[in-house]
Amino acid sequence: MQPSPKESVAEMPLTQQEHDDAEIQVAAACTTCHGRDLVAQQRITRKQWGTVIKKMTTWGAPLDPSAAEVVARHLAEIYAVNAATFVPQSISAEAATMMLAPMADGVFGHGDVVAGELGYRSLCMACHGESGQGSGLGPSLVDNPALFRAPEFFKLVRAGKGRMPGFGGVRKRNVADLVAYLRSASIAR
Amino acid sequence: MRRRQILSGSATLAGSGAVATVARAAGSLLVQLGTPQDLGTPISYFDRLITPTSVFFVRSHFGAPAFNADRKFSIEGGSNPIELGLEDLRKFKRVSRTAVLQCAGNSRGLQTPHVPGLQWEHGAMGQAQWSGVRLADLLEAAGVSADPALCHVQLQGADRPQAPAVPAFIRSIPLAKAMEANTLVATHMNGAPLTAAHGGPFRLVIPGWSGQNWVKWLRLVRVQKNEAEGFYQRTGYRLPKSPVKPGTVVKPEDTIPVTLMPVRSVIASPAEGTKWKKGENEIKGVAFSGEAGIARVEISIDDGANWALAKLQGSGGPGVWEVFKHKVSVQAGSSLKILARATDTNGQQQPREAVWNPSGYFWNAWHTVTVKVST
Repeated sequence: MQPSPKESVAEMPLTQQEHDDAEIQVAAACTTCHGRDLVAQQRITRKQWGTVIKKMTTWGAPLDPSAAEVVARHLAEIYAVNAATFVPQSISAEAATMMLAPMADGVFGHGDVVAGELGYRSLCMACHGESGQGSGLGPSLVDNPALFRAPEFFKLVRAGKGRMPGFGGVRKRNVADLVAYLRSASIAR
Repeated sequence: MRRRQILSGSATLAGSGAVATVARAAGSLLVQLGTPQDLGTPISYFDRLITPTSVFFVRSHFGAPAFNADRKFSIEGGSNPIELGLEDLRKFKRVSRTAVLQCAGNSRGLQTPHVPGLQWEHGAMGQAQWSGVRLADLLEAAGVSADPALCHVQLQGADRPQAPAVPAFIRSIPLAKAMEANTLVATHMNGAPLTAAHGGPFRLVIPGWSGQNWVKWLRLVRVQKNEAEGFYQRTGYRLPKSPVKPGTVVKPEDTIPVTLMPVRSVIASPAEGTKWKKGENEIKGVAFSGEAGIARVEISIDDGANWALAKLQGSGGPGVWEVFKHKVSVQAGSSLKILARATDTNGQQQPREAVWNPSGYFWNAWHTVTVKVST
């Protein structure tokens, strides 16, 4: 890709290592609140990426300011302005509905709110915030449909996802307690 | 993991709308974004008056909150603040309206030069029958009068930003608009209660206005002096007062809120890249305008050299789409560029090229579909 006249003519193209490191940053900073597909469908210039990154970091994306420029260059290159148009995947209407539909609590019902609060503070608070309202590291859990899909939530807590670690030792009763706490009125609204 | 994904590929420019058709199973949606859910309706559904709920597009900023049939919303700012749930709404007169719901950013992906945001093609729109109660009736019950000092109605839903630094989705509409007979708090969509994905148990319906005004998962209605504060009313969802050159950065004071949808039409069939048999074939789609009915839809199969009038179906009206159909006879071995161009009853006509704006709202250029006729 030819550098535009506005870019420094002395600038070197990104090395493979710089691309790889930028990719690590993107995976860690850009997929807490939304999927990678939002990033992947953009067809904007490096300058526009700079503006987007600034907005995102203002909104809490945990990207170090020193990495912003390389990430902008990386994204502008891998999602070039004239690259093929992003083609959305298909999802069946049923699957789309099922993603949000509540599931029966089963063994995850009747958890202990007090035990849940203790568990939350130990395991979850650092990323999901003092009162479950989220941070750049983990999304808000308040009123989150995931709390009403407890069997799936249990698997997620155990396995982790993206930058969320898996808490492999967590038992079903622990998740029942977490769910009870997070659903409870004790969460600030 | 070492990878270098350079999507050089074929330089298919989004501006031409010429994305090769991917065969889609019936009853499926297009995943514009998986999380939070932003799903588009396949274009083939835009050949009928009502878009089935199962494939109606889904859009939110933060994802749906947990569904709560017992949710109540409050109305503040009048002499009689009230809280209303589904049971309470049954006491009010029920009305129904058929109207187009379209995301302000629908077809943003087709605007060039490109701008950031969801790169929708045509899928962020649909028409449904909405039923519920008039917002005006609820405001009256809450003791809201047409006080000139109170000009705006703030609207807030139960969806929550993913983190505290992300602005909440708070909108406002002028009180005059809130008081109009067609502005509803809807509880039903196509005859069934609003689902979680579509803003249940209640959402705003504002025929003719773009989707970000149709606040979902309603939890607060507040009559107040000024427009809502915050990003999603004061910075987002605004258009330059007059057209600007592509790439221009526009100051907030030079913008107006995104409200009335401009005239547009979309060709549902044939799909892009279809192979027609020679002889008679049909072109179908929908057309609508925010502030007026549709006067005519014209079709060209020779890239705009000649135009013919399509037949229109449906009662239409401001914010209500009509179906257009047009039969053509084509010769074997030809390659055709089909165009559709709608004009509304105020004389507004779709432009050949859409007016660029920094956020890619209200793209409404002529829709182009290329077909080949088999030999």
